Amino acid sequence: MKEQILAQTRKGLQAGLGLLLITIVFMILAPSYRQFDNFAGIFAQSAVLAIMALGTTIVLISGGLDLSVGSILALSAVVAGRVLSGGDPVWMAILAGVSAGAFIGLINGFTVVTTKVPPFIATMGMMMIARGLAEMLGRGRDMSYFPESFKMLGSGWIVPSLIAGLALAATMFMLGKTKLGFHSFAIGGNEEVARLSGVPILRNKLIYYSIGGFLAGLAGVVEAARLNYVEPNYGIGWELQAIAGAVIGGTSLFGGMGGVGRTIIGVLIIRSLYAGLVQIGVDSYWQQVAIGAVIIIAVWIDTVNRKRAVEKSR
Amino acid sequence: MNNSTSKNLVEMISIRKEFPGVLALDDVDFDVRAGEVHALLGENGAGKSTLIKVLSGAQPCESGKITIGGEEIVISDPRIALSMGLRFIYQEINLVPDIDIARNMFLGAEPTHSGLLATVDHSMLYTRTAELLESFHIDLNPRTIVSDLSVTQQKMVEIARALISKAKVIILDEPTDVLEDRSRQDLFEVIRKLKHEQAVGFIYISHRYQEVYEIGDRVTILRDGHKMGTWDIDDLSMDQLIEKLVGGDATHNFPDLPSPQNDIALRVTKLCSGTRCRGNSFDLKKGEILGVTGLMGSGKTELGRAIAGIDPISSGHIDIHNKPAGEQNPRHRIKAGIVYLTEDRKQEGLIIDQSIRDNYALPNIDRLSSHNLLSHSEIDAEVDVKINEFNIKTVDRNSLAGHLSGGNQQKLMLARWLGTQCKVFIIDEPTRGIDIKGRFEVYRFMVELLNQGVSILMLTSDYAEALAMSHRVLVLHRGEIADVVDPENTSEEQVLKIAIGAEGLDV
Repeated sequence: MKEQILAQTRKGLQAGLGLLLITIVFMILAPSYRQFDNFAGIFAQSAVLAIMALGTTIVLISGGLDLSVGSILALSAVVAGRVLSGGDPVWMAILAGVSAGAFIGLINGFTVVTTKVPPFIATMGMMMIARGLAEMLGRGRDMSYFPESFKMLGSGWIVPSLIAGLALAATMFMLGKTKLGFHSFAIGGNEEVARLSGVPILRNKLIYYSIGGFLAGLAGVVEAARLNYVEPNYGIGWELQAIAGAVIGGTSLFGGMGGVGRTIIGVLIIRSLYAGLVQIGVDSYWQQVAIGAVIIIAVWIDTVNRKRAVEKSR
Repeated sequence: MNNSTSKNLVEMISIRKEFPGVLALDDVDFDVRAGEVHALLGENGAGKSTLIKVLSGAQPCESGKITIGGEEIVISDPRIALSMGLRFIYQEINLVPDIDIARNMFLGAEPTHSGLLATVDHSMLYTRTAELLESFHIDLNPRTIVSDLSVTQQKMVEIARALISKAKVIILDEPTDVLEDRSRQDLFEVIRKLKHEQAVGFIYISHRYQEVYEIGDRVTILRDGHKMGTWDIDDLSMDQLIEKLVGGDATHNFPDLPSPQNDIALRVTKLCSGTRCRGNSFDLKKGEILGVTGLMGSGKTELGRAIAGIDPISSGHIDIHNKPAGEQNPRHRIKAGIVYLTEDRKQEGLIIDQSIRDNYALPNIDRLSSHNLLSHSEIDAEVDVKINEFNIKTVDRNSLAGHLSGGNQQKLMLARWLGTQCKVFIIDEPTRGIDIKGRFEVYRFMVELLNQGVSILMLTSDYAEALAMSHRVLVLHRGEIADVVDPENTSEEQVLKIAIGAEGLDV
């Protein structure tokens, strides 16, 4: 793994340096960016997206794609909100929220492996389905003013960051230490080789998509707790930010390469850009332009690296 | 032939091409005259396709020159070859399936109305296509969608397309590989017509050596990048031709095979799969290498893949160590002890942009982990031992598998599958793309596998390899076992005759 680790570490370093550079530039340009509150805000906002992006990273490494996680986030938040507004205990709300996420993820995996519909289409369909379900369950209902013990999950920047940290540790362990993780790289690297080597492709893909759904569900629950109200339009477009975070961190869109640690950096880059551009007074349209450009450049670098690796191996 | 005085349309002089570790073309001369079919023959890896790629501009050569119509041309780009009147028709069909014949024929060269807009002249498009088809007696409507055509018809359309603009030389690469016998005759008719009426020169590449006697005027034979010679086809008997193709040497370097045991390791009964594995039965003994050979398309790979559980089987049984092999998928087949080592190591065998270590660990990961947790130190230690044991030339275990040479990739494949409990290895083209030195190393490790109680089903199109490295050889012809021969008293020529279905035929 040394060459890979070196290449991966280099990518991680590149992303880390990028984050450092962005931070320094904004600190110079905007006095408000130097405040502790600013960083606390970036962390709080990054945490929820990061939890989701960890799952996205695993799916990407295994050669898949999940566009439904933004909608899953909303659905899970709505499910948790309804359980709470029904007066049921907090633990039940949390369990119901993340279970809903994991279940949708499982269905994604099932669709991808059984119908052979490309993941892009299968999960895009699920993006609409889950959003529709969230609207159905959540529209017109007042879901706010949750119990203190639930709000705890999203309080300040510390608790969401801690939860993201735990999710990071768990996914890192899964990718680095378990057979399941080892197989995800193999399946994403070359599915046919993995199949001919006896890797249970179908079962594993079900699990990867389920993890993606579970983490999106967890993100939804934390988001509900953080904002202290639930609306079914949570997380619109977040699936793309999650993918962008993973890719900026150096996870390959083509599968077989990547890591969750660097996804966190990628997510921080995106959130820092948003926060910084606001604070130096760039209007919101230009923010979109800038972030779009960063994503393209990051993927471009990935493509060039990939091509070079393949050419070298010829 | 009476056209020996006609001028050379294309002349290739002292073409030299090297790939890392292999001399693909060693100062090869080749020419085509107007109105002749010049057959280019050679075994896999002899350099035929390389020569054609150099001519087409797809690959540069190290030295040598090419003249077309007496004029020296540097073909650095496929478009130059096209503009000089060369037309290449490859083995695979190169048409857009969803549009009609006429649009395919004129793709990128559509006739247009004069005027600023230059819109496509549809009536011209269809009348010219109809004329062209008619001139070759191809009875097809220009408006037929290509995907509705048979493979033969598509091939004909491709040839007709090559002629919409003036073609001087047509290069046909294995044109009959996808054709049925009857339609081959149609194709030959078209070739003869073009040859006589328009003095087109043909370069004809084929594995079906009898065809050369039907359609060829001259023949050039390549072996291992060397030109063995060029002959008028009437001056070369089939026996001589085969002898030039395969040569009679190189057996002395093969290792001795230990005797197999009497137990049956693998029993295949009336196995049918797809269209190219048709009811084959045989036994493989413990410690035996059973060679399987035949022409391209004879069903070697299909047989191997069916046994390994990769492709579905329509009927028949597979027993391993006298027990049914179970579910038809690679995962269960590996558990039952049968593994398939692909000929396409870079696409199906190894993950080329991942490390040697991870590639080694892939099928062995169950053994190298406990309670689903990887044991990284154990993996590292075992990989280091295997790199040493199998003499895999690499900086260390973390190098990418794609950086290994072909021989070292094959040794890595053998090493990692030996690490599993598999006792039957199906090895497809064990030495394809591997240079001479690596080749004999692979053979030695195959013997080592036998010593460890493994049985090998070796699928190969190299007859020398089949005869020297097998205890018995199955010869396939069109998906069926044509004969089982004893390598001790069988020659390559005899194997080839069985493989092309010419056994007992006097040519």
